[in-house]
This record gives sequence, C-alpha cells and structure tokens, in this order.
Amino acid sequence: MSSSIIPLPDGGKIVKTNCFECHSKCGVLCTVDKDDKLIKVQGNPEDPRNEGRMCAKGLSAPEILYDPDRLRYPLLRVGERGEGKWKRISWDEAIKWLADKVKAITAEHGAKAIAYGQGTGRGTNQWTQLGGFMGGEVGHSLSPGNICLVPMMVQGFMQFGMFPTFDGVDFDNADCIVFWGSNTVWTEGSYSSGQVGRSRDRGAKLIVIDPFFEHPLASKADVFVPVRPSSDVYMALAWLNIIINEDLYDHEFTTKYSNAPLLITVEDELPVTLDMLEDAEPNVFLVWDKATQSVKNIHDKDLDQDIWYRGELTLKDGKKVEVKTAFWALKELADEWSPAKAAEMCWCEPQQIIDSCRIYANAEAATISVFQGIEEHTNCKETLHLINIIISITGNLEKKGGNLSMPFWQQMRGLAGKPPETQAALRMYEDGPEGAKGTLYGTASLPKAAFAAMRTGKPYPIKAYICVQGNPLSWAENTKKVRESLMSLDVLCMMDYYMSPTCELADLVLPAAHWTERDYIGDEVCSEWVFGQQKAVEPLYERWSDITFWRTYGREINKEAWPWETDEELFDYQLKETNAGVTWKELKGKWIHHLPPFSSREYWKNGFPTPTGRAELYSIGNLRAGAFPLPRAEEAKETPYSKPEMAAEYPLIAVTGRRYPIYYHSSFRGIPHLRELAPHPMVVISTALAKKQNIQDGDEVYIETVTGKISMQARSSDGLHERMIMIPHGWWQGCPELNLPAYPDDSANVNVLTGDKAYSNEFMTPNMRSVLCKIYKK
Amino acid sequence: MSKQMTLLIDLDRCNGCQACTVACKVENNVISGVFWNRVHRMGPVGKFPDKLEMFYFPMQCMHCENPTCVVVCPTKATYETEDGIVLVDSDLCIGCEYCIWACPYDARTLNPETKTVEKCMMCTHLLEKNELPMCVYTCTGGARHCGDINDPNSEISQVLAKNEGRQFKIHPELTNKPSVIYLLPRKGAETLCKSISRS
Repeated sequence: MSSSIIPLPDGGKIVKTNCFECHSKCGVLCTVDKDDKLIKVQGNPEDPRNEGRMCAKGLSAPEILYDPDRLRYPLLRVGERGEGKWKRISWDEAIKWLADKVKAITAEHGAKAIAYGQGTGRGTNQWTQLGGFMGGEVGHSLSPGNICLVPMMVQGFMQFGMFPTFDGVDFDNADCIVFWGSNTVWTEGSYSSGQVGRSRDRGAKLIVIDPFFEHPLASKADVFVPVRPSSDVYMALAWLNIIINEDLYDHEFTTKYSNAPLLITVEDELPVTLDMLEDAEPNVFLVWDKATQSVKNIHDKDLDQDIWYRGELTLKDGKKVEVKTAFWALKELADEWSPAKAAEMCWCEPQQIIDSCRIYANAEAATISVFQGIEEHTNCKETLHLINIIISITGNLEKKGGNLSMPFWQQMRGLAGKPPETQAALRMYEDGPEGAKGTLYGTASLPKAAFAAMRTGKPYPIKAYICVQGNPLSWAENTKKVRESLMSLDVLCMMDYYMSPTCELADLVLPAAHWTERDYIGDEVCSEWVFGQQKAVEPLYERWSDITFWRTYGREINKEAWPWETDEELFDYQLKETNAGVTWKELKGKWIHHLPPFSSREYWKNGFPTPTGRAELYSIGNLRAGAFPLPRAEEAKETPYSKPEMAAEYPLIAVTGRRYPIYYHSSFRGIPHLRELAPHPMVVISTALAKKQNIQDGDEVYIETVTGKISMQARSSDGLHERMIMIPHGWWQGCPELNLPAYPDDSANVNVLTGDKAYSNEFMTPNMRSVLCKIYKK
Repeated sequence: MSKQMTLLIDLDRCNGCQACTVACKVENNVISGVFWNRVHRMGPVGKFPDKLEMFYFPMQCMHCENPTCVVVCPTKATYETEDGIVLVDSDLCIGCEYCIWACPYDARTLNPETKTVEKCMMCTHLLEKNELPMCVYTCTGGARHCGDINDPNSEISQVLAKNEGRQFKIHPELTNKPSVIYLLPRKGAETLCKSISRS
C-alpha cells in the first residue's frame, strides 16, 4: 500500500488528502473505518502550509459528506421549470440527454448559444474553460471570475508575468504584513492565520486597511486605516507619493528590474520605441543610458539607467519629441495625491496613511495581501495596478518575506488550449463611457450581457447554460434579472452538492461528489506544492466528480478536445503539461510533491516574463489590450462622489459579501454545528445610525437600493462609519435539524440589491462593495 | 509537584475563526445547543475610527485547582483527576445543576437529551494517546496550548515563560483557583481586558 494510506489495526485506514471546502486545500488526514465510513477529518501536520491546523469548514467534512440533504442521483425535470418535480435518471441517460440537447441547439444556433460556467472552481478552471472552448466559437465562461481572482491575477500577469498576491504572500518571513481589503485569516485561515501570529510574535508589524474594525486583525494592527470602500485607489496614490518623495523606494530594484526608466512621450505617455527613431525592429523599448548619454534597448545588460531622465529625442522624420521616464509619470500622478488630499477622499486621517506607509516601506521585508475588498469595485484595475507598483518599487517583489511567484498560476495557463479564433468577435460585452468591455478579461463574456442574451436573444441567443459548483442566483448582481434569464433558457444543467436555488430552475441536476469521495489534483493555491487529492471513501449513491462529468460529457460533444478516456489520463496530461515531474499514480502514492520555483524567483538572472523583461510599473500588456498602461485616480462608479443624486436618496454605502469564518459563500447553512454559530443573516450598521433610526439589535430592517429591496435582522456595531453598512451574502439554505429557515424568493439575497449599471471596463467587475442604499425598520 | 494539565490561550493570536468551537463539537459529539467551548467577540467598543477596542475570547472549563463544582456535586459525578483535569462521570450525574450554579465561568450546560451536565473534558481520550485536545490541535491562529504547567520543560510552560507579563487568569481572586491561563492581547483591548484580568 502506498505511503499516503496508512492502515489501522482495526481494519480502517488514514488517508492523506486535501480539503476542498475553500481554495486553500489544506493537507488533511481522513480517518476511515473498516466499513468505508469517514469518521474524522483533521489537519495533516506534514502539510508545510497548514501544519495540522484546520478551520471549521474543513472539520465539518463528515457532516457535509453524509448530510441527508445532499444530492444523490441525476434528476431530470418533469414539471414546469422551477416547479420542483423531478425524475431520477441514470448517468448514461443524463449525459445522453444533455449531449442530444446541446447538439440540437448547436445545429440551429451554433456553439455560441451554449454557455459554460462554474462557481468558485478551485481547480476546475481549466476544464470549465475547455468546455467553453470545445465548441470552437466562443467561451462565455459564465462564472464569477470578474468578481473573484481574475482582476488581481490578470493584473499580476500583466505587470509581472506572474501572480504574487495570493498564495505568494509570504506571511511567515515578513517584517510587515498588510491586509488590504483582504481577510485571509478567515477565508484561508489555516495557511495564513498561524503564520501571521508567528510573525507578530517575533515582532512583525501589522497594517489593516479596511472599512470595518471587526476585521479580526484590526484591533491588533499597528495601524488600522478605516477607508471608504473603493477609495483605496487614493490611499495607494498617497503611499506612492510618500514612497517616492521620502525616497523610500528600492533604488536598485526600481532602476534595474522594474521598467521605471522606460521612456514614454510627455504628451500622450506612450512608449518611445527604437523604430520611431531609426529603421529598426518594432517593439524595442528604450531607456536613457547615462554612461553613453544615449537611448538603449531596455533589454540590454550593464546599463547605467536614468529613472529621472527628461529630454528631447529626434524622430526618424526629423521631428522632435519630448520624453520622460515612466517613473516621472508616476511621480507626477502621485504628487497630486498628498496624504491630506487622499485622506479627504478615503474618509480617514492623513496620519494613518503616513504611518502605515512608512512602516511598510521601511520594513526589511514587507508583504501585502489583497483581495475582494479591492477587487469588487469598478476601479479595481487602478488600485491593483498601484499596489503592484508599490510592491515592486519597495523591492518586495520576489523577495523572501515579500510577495512571491508561485508556479501553479503560470502552469495552469494554456491547459485549456487557445480560445477559439472567433472569441473576440463573439464574446459579449458593453461598450461606451460606462462600458464593461473586459479589455483585460477577453476569455469571458460580461455575465450581465450573457444573461441578457438568454432573455432577449440579442446580440444572439444563448439557449443553454451548463455549470458546475455554481449558483448564479447567489453570486451574480441583480438577481431578479438573472432569474428571468435562467427561466428563458431551453437547457439549464447544474451540478452541485445541494438543490440550490439555481438547481431548482434547472432541467438537469447532477449530484457532485464531495472531495472526500473523488480523486483530484490539489493544485490551485497550493504554493510550491502539488497534491494527490485522493478520495477517502468510495463515492456514495451516484455522485460524480465534476471532472468526470466534464470529461464524459465533453467527449460526447468533441472527442478531440477531450482525448482522455479516464480521469487518471486527464490528471497525467495536466501533470505532464505543467512539468510537475510526477505522474498521477506517483503523486497519489506520495500525496505531496514539491514543484520547481518559477523563473522570476531569480529575476536578476531571468528577468520577468513581460514585454520589457521587467516588473512593469508601466504595463505594456495593459496598453496592448486597450487598457490604461499607467494607473489613474479613478473614482468608482457608484459612490457619493460619482453619483451624488443617487446618494441623496440612498445615502448609505453597503459593502456586500463580507465573509464568515464558518461558511464558504452560500455553502453549509444546513450543517447544524455551523449554522448555530451564525443562525441568521444580519446586516451590521453603526451604533450611531442605529440610534438615529431607532433600530435595536435583532430588529428586522429593509435594505433598499435602486435595484431592489431585501430584509434582514440588524446588529449595531461601533466598528464602522455611520454611512457604511455590511451585508452578508449567500443566504438561501435552511437548516431543518435546527428548525432554522431557508430564504426562498431571494428574501435575504444580497444580490437583489446589487446593480448592473456600473462596471470595471477592464475586468467587467460590478460595484459589489460600494452599493448606495438606505435602510429602515420593517 | 503534582501534575497540572491545563490550557494556555494567547488572545493576541486568536482570530475568532471558531475552529476550536467546531473541532470540540465534532470530536466530542456535542449536540446542537450545547457548547463545551465558545469564542465570544468582545467589542468593538469605543469611538470610530481610532478609539476602538476588540478581541476574541475563547471560553471553556477553567479546570480549577479548587473546583467548586466538585464540592457541590452531591453524587461525586464531577471529580478532579490526578492530572488536575476536572471531569464529569455522566453515569453518576443526576442533572441537579448545582455545579452549573457553582461554576463562575458559565462553562457547564445541561444536555437536554441525556439530562446530564456536560463541559470541556480537555479531550482526555486524546491526551491518553499522547495527542493534543482537538481545539489545540486545530487552532488556526496557533493560539492554544495544552500541557503540564507544573513541568517547566513542557511546551506550555515555555510559552508562558516567553510571555511574562501578559498572563492572567479569570477571577483569580476566587477560591476556585482556575488553572487555565490566558495571555492578554498585545494591543487593541487594554480597557476591555481590565474587567476580566484584574488580579
């Protein structure tokens, strides 16, 4: 028997595998008795990330596995859509039914009429994407990527050719840890919480930038900066101002390894390339070399570069052009944002900005964790761009204790192959000044537009939606429209653990295997490792792995795209393509496998895989994709500043989607020992607002926006600004054992409130964390 | 000196994730509505944004050196082991709840199904196998420690030695002599903690 399965004297066994209740995939030990029953799940001390620690969600695995409310068999709708009448069918019948429907729709409307999607993925991203690509027309990727992970991942790729702000946050070696719109000690606690505590024990400083003092680290922070949601962009500009003007940047890194010295035109801030000056190859980017007093290719070695160059160059046609460095452009931008001016927009104190910045920039090694508090705003690209610049010029990129590349993020790219040639022409988006073009997210359609195409048939009809681990009635903005859209489909196929609200509207509902009952590769967010995420028990009833589903169904539609006859063959393909250096059989046997680091870890030798070979402050990738290559001070699109008239009627700012440490999005409200810890959805309002509107804790209140209205219980807190409220998401499921209610008809569904009018043009992200609203007693 | 097994909980490292609460439930099959371990959010109190305090406060049996629950128990169901752990023998418990009234820490609950009183048993079934109580094993913040506080070489004693000046016990003035040791948050809860740490 392999070393990843330890036999027990009583005939049972301990199986080494990885949890899947969130992204972090902590190493676990599953105790299974002789009758193949999962008895206990605990953290595995051999996983260097969680070291045995395990959160409430993961510890609940046996309860989730055996929850009587879980789906067991494929179900085909027999009544009206949404009526709740089902017929149990076999998997063979289910796959055939779905493939026949999809083939018929494809024959009539083209493969573009089929949308594929997922929820949080956590390792299926590449296979869901392949599903979307296999029709050869367009991948709509109807998934919440626009509000989760894609903005920070893609902006990382754009600037660095890698992604250093998720599992690359080096909590364990940092001298200063910044949580900026991020609370990973709850969301991925087992591999961040212990490390943060350990680092603080040895004196590491802590900075929390967040609107809410109930962030579990806020009270412990050396500096807590209470920002207005989405104003982080000004905060980052003020940091940049301080770092440049107080000379706190790392001169060597900034000069040699970032593209700070890149020459751009003064007039329109576009790069000057060699072919503009003489007959030369295109795309040769330039810097000013002090030694030779001339321009040089940015890729040349042994340059004496001037990051403060300003001058005039003569173009091929004899015309003169004024140039400056990218660093100058950043300084000019940052100079407009003194801490005092930024503080006014952020609704905080200038000193909080100054103190936090100085602690970060003066630390020997400092790391920044960012997440959805930054991402879920219409100006997310700008804030992420600035934070990436800050990480770079302080020399914290690819530095121990800073922000590091992790191999998986590069390796997963390309696993689904190239998008169809017609991807750009057929993907759906919105143009115009308030546009949601998705300049940096071309592998997906704007969800709002794809949902609209289901209802209206425009620009062309979407007739089928096939989705694993997803519940768009919970994750997507403007639920009312999403519901109408799903009701208009010919075919809705959902694969899930539970009969979610979206499943209730489906034609075909497929039972997903829990992680303890299916084989998988533990890859995403696994830092320097890849894991054999093997099953602990045989699948119960007729539950399938979603990979088995994608593969089996995919082969019915396009066998060339899905050549793998078994899941094991597919795993071997992934491991080979990603140069993991291990086969599935070996990986399953040893459970944990170390991956070689990404090339930029030795950037002084290898550079960064970007057009300039540097960490790009000025993003050539952004420019080429039609996005702004430099950050801008962009006010988000639904705030008291950008929508003063709306704010007059809806004066409060709602932050939606604040996490619980015990739930994962809309999952697990039905698990009694979790539900009893947070039995009701509760909106948190400030004590001052509660007093003003005479709202007592536990009172039912209405929350209303231009888009919709819901009700929840209120709880007051001293920990937030009078104009802000915090609304949780994911409330639909009841807990029969505790007699605690479900919330049908979206009565407590926060996305009834979120609008579909304001988006990030780059990432198609709606303003989910800055929603103008009002609140009143029921 | 005799053994005193106990818990040490560093409030500076507790992030309120409730893993201990759930680990305890799962490990000990504690039914809904009964808690052997709880984590309370204390605060935030004060004036937004910069005069605020908050901390998370895990609570369970304090495994007192002079436990009043043992004294009041009419059937000797509640007793103290040689290792200093306070346990309940549910076979002897008649559910009279005297111990619930006697406990200053609200650490005990009557199980409405079995009509016996339950509380933290320090996972003695795991300690016997040289394993840690599940709350300690799983704590995501690394805030919890367990061991013999009378053994200067134990891990728990060493953690305590490194944190001179932060330790306190809840209501040490009472005759119970609680054995569970807390470490104060380094910051962010100065006035909040005064009420629980006066000594």
